[in-house]
Amino acid sequence: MRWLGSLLIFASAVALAALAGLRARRAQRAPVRRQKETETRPSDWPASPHEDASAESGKGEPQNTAQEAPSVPQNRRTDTVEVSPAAPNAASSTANKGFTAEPERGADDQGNAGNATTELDIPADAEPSDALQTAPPASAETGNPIADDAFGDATEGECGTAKTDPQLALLEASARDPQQTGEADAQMDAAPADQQADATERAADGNADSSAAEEREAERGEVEPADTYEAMTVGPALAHNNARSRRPTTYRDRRGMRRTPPRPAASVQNTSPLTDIPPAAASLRLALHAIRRTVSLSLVLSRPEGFPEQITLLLDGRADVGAYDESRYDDIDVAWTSNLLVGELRLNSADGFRWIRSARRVHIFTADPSEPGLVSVSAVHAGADHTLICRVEDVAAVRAIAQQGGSPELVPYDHWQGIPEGWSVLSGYKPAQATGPIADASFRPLDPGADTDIMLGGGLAIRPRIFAEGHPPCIEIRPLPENATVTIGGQPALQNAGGAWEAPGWDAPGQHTVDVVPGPSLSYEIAADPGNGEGWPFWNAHEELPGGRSSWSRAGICGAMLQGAAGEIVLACEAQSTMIALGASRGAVPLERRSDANVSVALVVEPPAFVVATSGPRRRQGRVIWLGEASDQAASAADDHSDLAWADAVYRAAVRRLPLVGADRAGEAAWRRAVLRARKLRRRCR
Amino acid sequence: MAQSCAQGAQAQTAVPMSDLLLEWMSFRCKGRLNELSAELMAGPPRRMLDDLSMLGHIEMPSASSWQIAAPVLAGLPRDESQVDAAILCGARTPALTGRVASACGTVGAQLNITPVPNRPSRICITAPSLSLLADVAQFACIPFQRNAAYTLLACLPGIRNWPRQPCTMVGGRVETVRRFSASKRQWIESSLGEANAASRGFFRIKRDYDWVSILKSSLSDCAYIEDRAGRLYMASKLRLASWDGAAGSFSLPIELYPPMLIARALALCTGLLPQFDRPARRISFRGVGGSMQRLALAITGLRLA
Repeated sequence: MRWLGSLLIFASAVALAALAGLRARRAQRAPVRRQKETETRPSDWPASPHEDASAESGKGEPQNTAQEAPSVPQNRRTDTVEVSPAAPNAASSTANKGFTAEPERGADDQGNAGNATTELDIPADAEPSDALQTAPPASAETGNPIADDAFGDATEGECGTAKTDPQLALLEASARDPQQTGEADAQMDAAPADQQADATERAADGNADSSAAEEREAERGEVEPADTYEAMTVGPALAHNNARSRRPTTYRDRRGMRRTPPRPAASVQNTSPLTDIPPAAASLRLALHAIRRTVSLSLVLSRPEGFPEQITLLLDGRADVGAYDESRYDDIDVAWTSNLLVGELRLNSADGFRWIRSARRVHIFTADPSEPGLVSVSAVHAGADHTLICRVEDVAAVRAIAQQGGSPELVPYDHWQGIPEGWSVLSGYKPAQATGPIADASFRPLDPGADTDIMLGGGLAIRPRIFAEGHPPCIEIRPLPENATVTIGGQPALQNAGGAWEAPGWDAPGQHTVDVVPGPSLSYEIAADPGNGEGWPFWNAHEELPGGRSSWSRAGICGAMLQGAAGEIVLACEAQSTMIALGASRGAVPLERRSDANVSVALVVEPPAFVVATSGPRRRQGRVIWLGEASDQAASAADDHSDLAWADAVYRAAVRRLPLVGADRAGEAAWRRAVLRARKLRRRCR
Repeated sequence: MAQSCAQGAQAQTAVPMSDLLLEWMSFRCKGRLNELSAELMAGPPRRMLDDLSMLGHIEMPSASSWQIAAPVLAGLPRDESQVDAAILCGARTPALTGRVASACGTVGAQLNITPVPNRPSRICITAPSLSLLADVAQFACIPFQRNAAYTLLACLPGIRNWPRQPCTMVGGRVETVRRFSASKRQWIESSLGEANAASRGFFRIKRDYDWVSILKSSLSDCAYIEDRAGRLYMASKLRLASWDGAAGSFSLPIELYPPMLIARALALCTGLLPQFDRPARRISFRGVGGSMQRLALAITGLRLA
């Protein structure tokens, strides 16, 4: 831990030096950059009072094609608020990857992870400006400026970090105009359903859609002034080697919003320059030690399909992390500094895998039956106990919301070690009911919602919310809000005769998301039957058995199956003096007799058809045993010479007129064919 | 809605829970003892795993972990009076059983599913000839293990050569020392001094934090060995086994329960677990033919009573 602390201190110093340099450069370029900001502002930035008046008229410039809702009035302010709609194509591909519910598995049943984002990987020694020089700026594509604007409140500036730039302070002041915010909410409620749907769809859901979109915005955007990132930078250990994206991702509560159906992968153009695999989610684990009165945090990186068992994280050096199980990696202890939870968290591995945890104002933790400690979730659940981490200045607001939700009084962890200055840990948040409308969108994850619960019953659960193919879950929704629509995987769902919800393809292998609009959402997965895929490979499960050079000791055992090291067939027979295993048309392998048992064993490559067993020179002292399996493989001319041993064995048995034992018509025919071939081979080879 | 889901659950219970457990394990592929789905357990978890291992469905890399075995059509010992038959061992999912059923229909073999209380069903395929069984396996894309029981037993070391790990005799303070008496077929109290002085014996010693089983094959040779193998080692050459040729029943005293692999080989003669005769305190494996019982005696070191 000491070395980790030292590394963190070093990283902080380097980061501060870099910031100082950036500030100097920014001071020189400020007039030019501000002009560019009007076009390329991150979606979560408030509008600048210095903007062109034309911005008010809704002259948005949708950067990405398709899906935009031109009918929705766009103004400059709203154009830049929403990050995720910037790349619907990217969003689709990442949705297809099925990251919907992964980030907060077990604890988050909302399915709105919103955490997995694509990421711009910046070398540790690169200036932020060096990395962010990509495509033309992307302004908003979203159709619903109101929703975007409302969400825009929940971003930087409100996370409690100081901004040193006075001009930025002005920007924030305008952004926090309550009248504007209120209008935004009202207009959101009043907007036609289609427009709202379009807007929210383009806003992407909790999938990696949003993250992918956000990254594309970051990639295309221009460099922002360094000090604008102060509020959104991650902890020093993580910031140093990770991307300082132009538009840090921010968690947005999208519960109850209509979800964009996943697009075909062919239309996706969101591939990161590093890897085609979208980033996975990173969550946090909170440990509260009651006796030592300490609080600690650790990072929990999810492990989606395709991620390796061992990763090397770029964390001020390299940190090797192994997989804990198939769903996540081992915890990574992090020093909880003042800046750690302010912004997003991005991690890269040496081979290009990425993880992200979007920025949020309140970090919510709850117990997970399959995980120790408290794990982070995206939103609260009614009736469940939660622990919250927030800025000290937000405690009052959080307590007020807790009271609205019928929660008992929150318990602070004042004076516990491990809590940095300016932060507060509050436990005991157990909402009993919906809190009602929350003006500040950044606090909406504290609202458990209308108590609508999506339950997955029955089925054959392989893991939490993963069901075996052929045994899908029984989906129940209680209580179903009035006028609510239910979709599963974007398809309209209907109740069957038993009252369970079904939709086309709902029980097919893959990821599925149940959406209740308005209401919660829940993801589940149908695991494909391994019997239809790669199946179950053979492996030697008993290497502890004494090995050796004899055939029987070299056989591998797996269940009821035996196999040689090279895949040979294991043949065992009760011993005679001489035993030779013969294939139907080739292959002669003598069986080895065990010294401690009356059994002979051979490892044969060709499936054996006969065993010649003799105990003496006389005819009655031998026999040919038909094994019952005749290989249909035709022998080629090239095998003739190598089959001479086989031909000799068959010939000798035939000449001695050894009786054929246990053969039916097929066996007799096979022996006749073998004898004929043996004679032919012997003549040819001589 | 609750009723609909209850109906769904009832439909699942119509499928034996043990079959569902095997299917669940086939999907999971591997795991730990404490990860087993409690809803699907029809008995103590460890006992379930032992039985599944004996039936050839799983392997246990350690005492607390399991891994599903590859599916295989295990040929049953062929008796002159019986048809050729094989049982399905290892992983089992609807897709796999569907392929097997389809292959049986194609080839003309017969598929029999026999429910077993609290254990996975026994899936047996019978055919007029062994080559047809091999064809069923080929069509179902699973391997065929000819005479699985005999072949498995033939590839196992004898009890005298059973894997063991050399060690030194326990020293210092111990809580309990027991010695296995082959004649009485039970554990009797002993001491560390007696264990040190003995030239041959099988001892169970309780240390501060665990039990260890130590086999002394000579005055200076000590080794950790599997408990069941150690007891059989000590009972070597004793006339404690019995075999009924007509019924094909091979029985052993319960105290001499064979190690897992030997028990699996004997169980694969029929694909059924051994029967326990409580009054006589003996376990019986069925379907054991003459050649099989001779090999079993050679491997276990026992003799017929």
